[in-house]
Amino acid sequence: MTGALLKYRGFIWRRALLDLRLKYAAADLGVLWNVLHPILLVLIYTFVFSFILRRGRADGDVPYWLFLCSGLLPWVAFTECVTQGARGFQRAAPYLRRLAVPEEVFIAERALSATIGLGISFVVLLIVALFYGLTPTWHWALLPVALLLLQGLGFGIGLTLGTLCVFFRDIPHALPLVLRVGMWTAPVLYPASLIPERIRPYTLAHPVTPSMNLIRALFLEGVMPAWWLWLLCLGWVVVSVAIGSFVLKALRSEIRDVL
Amino acid sequence: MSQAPAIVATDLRKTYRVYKRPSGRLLEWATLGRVTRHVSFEALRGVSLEVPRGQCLGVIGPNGCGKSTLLKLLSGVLSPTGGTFDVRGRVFALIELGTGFNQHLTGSQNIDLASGLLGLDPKYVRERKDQIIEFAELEEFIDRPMRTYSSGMRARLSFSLYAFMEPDVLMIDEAFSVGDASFREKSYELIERMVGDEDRTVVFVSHSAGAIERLSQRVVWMEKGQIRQVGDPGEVVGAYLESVGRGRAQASGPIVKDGAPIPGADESFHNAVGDDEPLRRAWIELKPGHAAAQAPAYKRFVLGALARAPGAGPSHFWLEIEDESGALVAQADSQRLGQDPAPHAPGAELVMRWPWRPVGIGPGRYRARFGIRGPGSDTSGGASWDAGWFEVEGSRVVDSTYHVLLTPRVHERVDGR
Repeated sequence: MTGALLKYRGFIWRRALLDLRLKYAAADLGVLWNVLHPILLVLIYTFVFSFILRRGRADGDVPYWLFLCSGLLPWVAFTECVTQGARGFQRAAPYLRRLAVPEEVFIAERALSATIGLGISFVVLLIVALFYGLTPTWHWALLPVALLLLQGLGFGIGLTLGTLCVFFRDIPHALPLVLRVGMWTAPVLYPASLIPERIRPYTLAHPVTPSMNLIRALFLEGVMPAWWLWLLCLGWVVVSVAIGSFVLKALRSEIRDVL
Repeated sequence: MSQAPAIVATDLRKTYRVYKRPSGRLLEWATLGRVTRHVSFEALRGVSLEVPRGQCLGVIGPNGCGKSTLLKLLSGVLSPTGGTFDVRGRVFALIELGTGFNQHLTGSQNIDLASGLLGLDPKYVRERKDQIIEFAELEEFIDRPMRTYSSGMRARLSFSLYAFMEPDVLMIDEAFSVGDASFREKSYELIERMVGDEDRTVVFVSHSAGAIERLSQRVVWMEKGQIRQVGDPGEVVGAYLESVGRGRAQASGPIVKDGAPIPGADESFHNAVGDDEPLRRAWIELKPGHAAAQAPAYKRFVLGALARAPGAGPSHFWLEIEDESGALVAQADSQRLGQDPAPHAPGAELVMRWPWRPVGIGPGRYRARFGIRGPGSDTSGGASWDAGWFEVEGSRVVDSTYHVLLTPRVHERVDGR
């Protein structure tokens, strides 16, 4: 699989950038929307939680809106990865039916475009945070790694679901529900410290929890997360991509028959 | 031809599993295949073929015979259920033309993007871009979004794109059912050049017997997922056309003494200019005796001709129909159709009536050529007469085209009839 992704890397990049461009193709502001979207999202949360709900501190001395955005933006990109991946083969059906392009290329393209979107929105968040007065630490330099680990997991899950969706068309309908459950069971909207102490270790079994903890620790707390937390994240990526590759390998010969 | 063949396929098979409902597949997985919930459909049942470099292989056959499946297997789009194949060099397969382009991008951007789809270096494509655009005759439109293109324009762009990427093996599936005659002609010439001068290999799948016969050095006739006949284009295409026609042929003797009256000069699309011209008249009849100015598309009609035989009988008769690009769209021969040679007096005026059922023939201008020859297999003592153009009118409803000529009825002219 790595071979195919490497061979088609240029294509994946161009298609991913195209995705971002065409997402707002009909709009006057076009590509700008990719930046405007996260800015507006961050501003809305800032406004609501600073002035209306006056939900001050979530964890330590970080304002809630900042905490929220630091979890929500990656989560949004992650779900994009998963849902777009799940629909990836069906959307690429016109190509798959008549070109010998390897299947995984189309999932990678979706994952990459979601990741580029995440990169843009997180940069916006960093800038807003600087304006707010958050002091940057060297830990910020590790943020891309943490975000990429989360997106890697998204790619693995997207690859698995993408293959399965070709055969079972119910999955895309069930997916939003499952993702909603996933969001509330992971510390995305609330800090991990709110979880009762005795069940907190078990929450690490949630594939997204370790990444969320990594991102928060690096971005908001300025501490180096424990090595095993990194390893756990990497483990999830490896496992999900391995499952995705296995499912694809097992069903590859039939995908184009069914599409 | 000491080189290794460009394409070798051995016993290629493709079986589709058809599930009534997706849960059937789940059940099979859960029981590790002990429960069967699918019906197998064998699209390809053991096809073996070999194509030498620098040849065009034509593939012909009725719908659903496995032509497209074969192409998709050879180009790597589908994986075979059984058998092996080897295609040497860079392979491009043009399957279902004009799709796969992004509607929002311009033609030019789509060309750039296609390099990725074909796994090519973008620079490689850029260097050939001007050629592609010029050949596709899209200079004016190339910076407009693809959604403003007509289906013909899309087809032109995709064919040009593939043809100029210098593939070692080019596979084309029904590429020219859209698009105008002049572009088709240009494309045929390009294919002939690629095969003849550049030693490239082409696999050409089409319903058009004329195109197949013109472009191919060898033809495979497929039926029900198997090769029914393979060999010389004229032979195989002829046999194929006969097989399609014979099923619907009307029983009729070679000579009908009491034929219907022949139409007058004003009702014919061809009239002899001088007394010397052997082809006196050619016309269209909706049924014998009822002349029409134009033939109806997709319907049965009769092509009639009155001609003076060059010699003594008995004779066989033949008819060829070409479209505007010069491609042979239909042909028939009374001998191939199993008729006995028709006896007639030397220099007799003969009335020929060819019931023609152009299955799927679109409207347009077609040229008819009537021929006569002696009873032997040699063509000596024969003659042929160009009847010029006639029109087929109607709306285009079917994109794939093959033509069926039926057994002709020929008789000597008696008392103006």
